[in-house]
Amino acid sequence: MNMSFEETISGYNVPAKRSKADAWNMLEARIPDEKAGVKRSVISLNWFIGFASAAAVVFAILYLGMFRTGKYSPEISSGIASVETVNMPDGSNVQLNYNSNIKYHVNKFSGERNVILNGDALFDVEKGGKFLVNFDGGTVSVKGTKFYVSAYSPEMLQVDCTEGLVEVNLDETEYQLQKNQGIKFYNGKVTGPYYISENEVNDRLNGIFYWKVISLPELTDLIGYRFGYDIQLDNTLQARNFSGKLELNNIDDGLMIISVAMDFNYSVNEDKKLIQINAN
Amino acid sequence: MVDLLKGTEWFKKIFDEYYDFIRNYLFYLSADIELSEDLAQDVFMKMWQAKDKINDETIKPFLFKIAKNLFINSHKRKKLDLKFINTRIDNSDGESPEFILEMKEFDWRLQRAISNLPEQCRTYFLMNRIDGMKYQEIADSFGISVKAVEKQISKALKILREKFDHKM
Repeated sequence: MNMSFEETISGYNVPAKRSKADAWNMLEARIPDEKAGVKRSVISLNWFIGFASAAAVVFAILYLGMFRTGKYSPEISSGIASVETVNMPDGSNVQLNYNSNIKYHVNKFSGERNVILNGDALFDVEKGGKFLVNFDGGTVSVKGTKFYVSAYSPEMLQVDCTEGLVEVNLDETEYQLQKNQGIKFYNGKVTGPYYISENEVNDRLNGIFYWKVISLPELTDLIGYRFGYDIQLDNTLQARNFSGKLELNNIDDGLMIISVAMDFNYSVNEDKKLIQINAN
Repeated sequence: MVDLLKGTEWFKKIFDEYYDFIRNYLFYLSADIELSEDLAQDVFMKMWQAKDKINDETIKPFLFKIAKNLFINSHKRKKLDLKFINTRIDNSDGESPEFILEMKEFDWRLQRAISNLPEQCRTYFLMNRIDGMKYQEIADSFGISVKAVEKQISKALKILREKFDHKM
């Protein structure tokens, strides 16, 4: 036979199950569906509203129980990929970012308000007695102000103040933050106080994050915590930094963008809830 | 202004320009046309979601990178068995049955050999030979040097020549 492999290949075409026009129609139909934003819900724990409905009566009983026993409320969780607004009985408001949970307790004698947080949350605290946010690795103490706490892990903590004054205890050291100041602690290193705008803080509840500079380990840890995955980051990538804005509303979006920007590959193991990131 | 520019019309233009390349690239990786077409949909959907964050100049490498990542995440490792449509066999009406049979057997062995090429060799080689992409275009698509593309394609040619040329 006189045909070469080069000649044979020149006759090759990739097969097709659907036409290009059909592919476009399918894609176009998907566009509006993808515009749905962050899933949000509101949980009201207000004492007075409690009388209005049977569901709220249940909350009221829990609330009374808390006063009598001094125990914390049941844990309230935002779940993966949703933001939960929690209206507290004292009028304070907490917006739980993705994969976060709180429980709280109000001391009826001292009026001290205590919250235990695991994850990310924006607090808008009504004026009153001491308001304490406790998390693994630190505490925040205020009387009435607005601030954001990121506390997914004792190794990765961040507090940003957008109103009033905030006293922070991070890694057994006291800090005072004024409006538009933040501080963070990651793997033994404290950064700040630094400037932070209210918009930057509020945008986090829409899944939008900004960084002047963030190390790749810290960024990928945040993505892991936010969506409930463990991260394995290649040693050669540990010293890399990322700068800019990222939308982190689902696990793939953020990773796609930074994998292109920083030239790495990643694989997601859903069974083990593990993301492996390797240099190209 | 940016939103108006990056609307459905803009998206359709990008789709028309790159869909075949992305779908084919996914086929060269997976040898599974249904998977390739489904993943190509997801690639463009990801691009739509990220449209405000990417420059027009980086669209091509962005699409190929997403395609590779989606393939890695979806793919269960299995032996590749690429099955191309061979238009030379389809258009061989005037040829003798013996010749057609011989051609089919050669084609079968060639497609197996291509399937067994290492991944980068295989994909760059096929993008060049089937999609007609120049070395520079392939290099731009993956953010690599032209030299690296040349090296992979030479490797593919060397392997195929060793298998087939001496039997011509």
